[in-house]
Parts: sequence; structure tokens; C-alpha cells
Amino acid sequence: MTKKNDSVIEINDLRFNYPNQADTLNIKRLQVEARQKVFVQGNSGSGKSTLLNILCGVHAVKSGEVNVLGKPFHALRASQRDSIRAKHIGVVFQQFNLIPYLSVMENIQLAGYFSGSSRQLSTDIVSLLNDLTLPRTICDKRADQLSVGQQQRVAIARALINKPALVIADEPTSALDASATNDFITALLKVCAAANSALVFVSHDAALAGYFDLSIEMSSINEVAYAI
Amino acid sequence: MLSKLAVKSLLNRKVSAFLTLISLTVSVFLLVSVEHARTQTKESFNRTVSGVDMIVGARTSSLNLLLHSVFRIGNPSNTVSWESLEMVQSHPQVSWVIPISLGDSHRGFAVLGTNEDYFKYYQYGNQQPLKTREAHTLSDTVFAQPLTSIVGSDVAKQLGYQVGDEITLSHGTGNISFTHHDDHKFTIAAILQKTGTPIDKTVHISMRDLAHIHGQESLPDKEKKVTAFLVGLNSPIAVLQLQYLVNQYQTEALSAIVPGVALAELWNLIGTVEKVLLLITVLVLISSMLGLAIMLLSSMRERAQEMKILRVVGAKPITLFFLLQLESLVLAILGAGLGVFVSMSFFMMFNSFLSEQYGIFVSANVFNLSTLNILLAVLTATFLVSFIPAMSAYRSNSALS
Repeated sequence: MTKKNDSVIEINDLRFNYPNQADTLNIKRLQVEARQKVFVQGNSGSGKSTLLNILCGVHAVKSGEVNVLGKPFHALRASQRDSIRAKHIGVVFQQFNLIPYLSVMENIQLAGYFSGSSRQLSTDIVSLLNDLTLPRTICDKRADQLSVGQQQRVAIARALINKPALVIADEPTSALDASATNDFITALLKVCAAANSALVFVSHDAALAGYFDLSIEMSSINEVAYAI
Repeated sequence: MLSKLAVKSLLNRKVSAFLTLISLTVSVFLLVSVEHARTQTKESFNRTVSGVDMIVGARTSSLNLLLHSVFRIGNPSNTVSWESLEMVQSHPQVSWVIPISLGDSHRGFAVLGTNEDYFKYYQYGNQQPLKTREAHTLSDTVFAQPLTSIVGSDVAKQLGYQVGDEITLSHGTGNISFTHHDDHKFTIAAILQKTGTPIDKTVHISMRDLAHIHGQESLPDKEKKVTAFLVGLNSPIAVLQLQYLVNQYQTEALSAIVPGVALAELWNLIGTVEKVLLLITVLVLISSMLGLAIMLLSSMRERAQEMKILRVVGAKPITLFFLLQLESLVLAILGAGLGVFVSMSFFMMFNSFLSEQYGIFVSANVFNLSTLNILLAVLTATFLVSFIPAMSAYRSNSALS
């Protein structure tokens, strides 16, 4: 949906605070291009989760401009942001990404269902799982029978099934060991590239920066955190 | 997809969902059964006697007279002399008088001594006359042959009788009697159509034969006794006048009742009990509804992550609201279905017991308008009570941590 060199994220003069609290975020400018792979490094309390929640359309923006995929999130209603997220943004959490009592296949189909897609996704799902080096037999397993590493990779498949223009990953490797982390990031970058998705990857672990096109430190863009 | 999600989520919480389902089933069963038994009892009583304007028996309460003469419940207080019967019969407004004499039995079924007029005038249900199983009306000469009997459909069915079979009567009522009228074998001349009234469980014989087997056939009319008699009038307007006349009769202490009035009295008496029963049933339903809400609400804590995932893949708050409503709807529909099923099975098992012991005929078919209303009420209540957990799902926070 975005043209070449269009920005996927464009933030101008964003200020954000939780009710009855001081500002959590104060970002003058942030831009992410289409297909760009961005690493955001920040310690806890740096406002990185708040930023992701704004980019996902979960938190409403009251001050400043946040354009995601060319849509002015600061001007849209919650339900409009919900449907943009369903269709065009894939999200991977730290852990517990999957509904435990559904099979892997059903978990991924869920994302297709809420995006309003009526396509039969099973072949897409199988090839996506294959790209993520997950065995085909995993499809019919219940999500809670998988290892944490497998669950995280299924979460990638879930996030990518709608070929979103933007993928947001919030500390997705914090529950993984070093070798699983490497496998995870490699797989994530590969499928994002295949789907032409931009990626915003947030972590406290600065050592991961080398995998990405661009590395941003929260403290350098968030003036509030800088002041602390 | 959403219904699949709801069902799988319930299956994931098998034990609590199952217990909630049982509680819903029990309450629907109670509600449907109580309401069904209530309306059917009323209908069963109301259909038993029709076309009879007045019942006259020895002085007793109107309910007692009604219950023993028509429903075979309880005992008569005394007998009525033939003279009193003739006194009533001689009244210009009286069209017909049918004597009935109870007291003997055949293998637990009541024996009723009467005359041919019984089959001519007695009506049940919506003014339906008594007919044989082959749908013939009974002739005026049905008792012309001595020792003839006409049996109700349940008597024939349960004891496997056919027309032409011979039966022996016992003295006194009850299943076991030590005095049998062994030397008098009655022949079954006809089997009556099913009526859904105590007639189905009655063996009818003539007054003459009844006197004969008790060795009283040579008694003059003066000394003949009957249990009660049914009266038909030329004009229903005369009923109050005649009732007064009978109740004031000096020679013998009598009671005259109008079946409809006596039944209304009965409903008045039962009405309070009915209401209490219904109230208890509704309370049971409310408590199981609360159980459902509590089950869903307490599951919301463990499902916070699940709600968050659903929100993040794009489910709107209203979708989560409906997901929770769908889960309780699935339980409510299953509970309603099971409750109705259990209720039907219950009546199927116990309706013969009810009709034998209490003369109440309750059909096992519970599908009627009031059941439908109950089910709709249950579903509405489910929706309302599920508002609490559903709102909790609606407000679930999808924020990343």
C-alpha cells in the first residue's frame, strides 16, 4: 500500500503522557521508510513500549502528529486504528503470543480472519512456516505444546500472514537463548524482506543492533527520557 | 471463526464449563417441569368432567366430593339413598341423573357401578362423549346382558385384555384384596377410547350387577344406596336453585356441587403453593445464571493475555464482547436443550405413576408455548447476566508491556 521510498512511520512533535502523569514521550521527529529494518534500543522506562503502543494504534495520540502507513493516527478513532492494525500491521510480543488452546494453524488463521481476508490461507501458512524452518507437522499441534522458540517463530508467521507493510516486535527474543535469538532474528528478517515489510524491532539488548539497517537509541529521540 | 473460538475456549475450561452447564440444565429442567406439570394438572383436572352440571353426594366438603366421585382420590364420607336420587330426578329442571357406586376394584383399578346413561351423558375434555376403542358410541342396551363390564383403555392395555375376556372383581379398593367375588365372572363387552382422565383406569359395571355380587339384588329400591350421582339440567340457570334445594334437604344430609366451581376452589387452594414453587424455581435459575457469570468473570483474569492477543491481531472491543456473549449463549442453549430433554424423560418415566396415584394425566410432550417462553426468558437472562464478563472483555487492554 506504500509506494517506493514512502515513509511507513512519520512522527512530528509527539508528546504523550498517561493520565495524571508527567510526559512519557517527547519525540520531535522519527521516520521509518518502507522496507526499512529499524532497531530501537532502550532500557526499561525509556518509553519504548509506549512508543510501540502508539505505533500499533493502541494508545491515542493527543498532541503532535503520528502518521503510520500514510494514515494520521492522531486524527483517527480507535476502531479505525484497530482495523488498520488488523490489516496492515503485524505484532510480535515478548512471549505468550499465541492462544494456548488453539492449534498453530488456527492461531495464524485468526489474524487472517480479523483482517477481513476471505482467502484460504492454509497454503500461505504452510510455506511461511517452512520459511521459518518449522516442521509441517506443527500445524495441528496446540500452541501450548510448542517450545518457547517455536512459539515465537509461529508468532512471526501470525504477524506476517497478512503481508503487512509494518511489523512491530517488542522484545521478542528476551525469552530466548543466544543461538535461538540468532535463528529468530535471521528468520524474521528473511520473511519481512520476502513480504516487503518494514520492521521496528525493540530491545534493551544493544548487541542485536548489527542485524538491522538502522539503529536508534530511545534516549536520543525521546527528550523526556534524556532529561531523567 | 468466532463461534469456533468460543467453543474451543469453553472446551479449554472443560470442568468449570461442564459444572455450569449442569447447573443451567437443572434450573431449566425445574422451570420447564414445574410449569408443565402446573398447566397439565390444571388441564387434566378440567378435562375430566364436562357436561355434568352438578354432583350430589353425602354431606362433605365440596372438594372431597369432587375428588372422590370424579378423580377417585380419597374416600366418600357416606352413601346416598336411592330416595334422594329420585327426589332430585323428579325436579322439573333435571334432565338426567346418573348413579355412581364405588368401592370395589379389579387388580388395583376402580370399579364403578352405574347405568347405560353414564355412557350417554358423561363427557370429558371439550364435550367429547365416551366411545369404544373402535370409535363406536355405546348402545343403550350395553348392560342388558348380566355380568357385563366396560373397561377403560389403560385397564385393557396394562392387563392385556381383549373384548370377550373374563375378569373377577375384588371387594374394597387397593391392589391386594382378600375378598374376591370369585363366583361372578364379568365379561368385557367393550374397551373405551383413551380419554386422558381417570375413566381410563376404571372398570364400569351396571348397578344391578354390583348389587348382585354383593347379594343385595333383592333389596327394595328404598334401601338401595349409591356413592354419588351426576346430574344434568335442562337449563344451567336452575343450578343454584337446585343446589340450594339439595343442600337443604331434610331427610338426608347431602352436598351438591357444581364441578366448575369446585375446581376453581381447588385452584385457589393450590394457587399459593404453585406460586411458591414457581418462585423457588426462578430463584434456582437466577443462582445458576449468577454461577455462569461468575465462571466467565473469574476466567477473565487468566484470559487477559488471550484478550490482548485478540485485540492485537485486530479484534475490536465489541467483537470480544460478543465472543464472551457467544460463550454463555453456547452454554445456555446446551443447558436449555438438555433441561428440556431431561424434563421430557422425567415425565415419560413418571406419568403413569402420576396418573395411577393422583389421577393426573401429564403428557411427556413439553413443547408448548410456555416452554418456549421459558427458554426465551433463560436466553435473555443469560444475555443480561453475561453483560458483566462481556464488558470486562470489552474493556480488556491491548497495550504491549
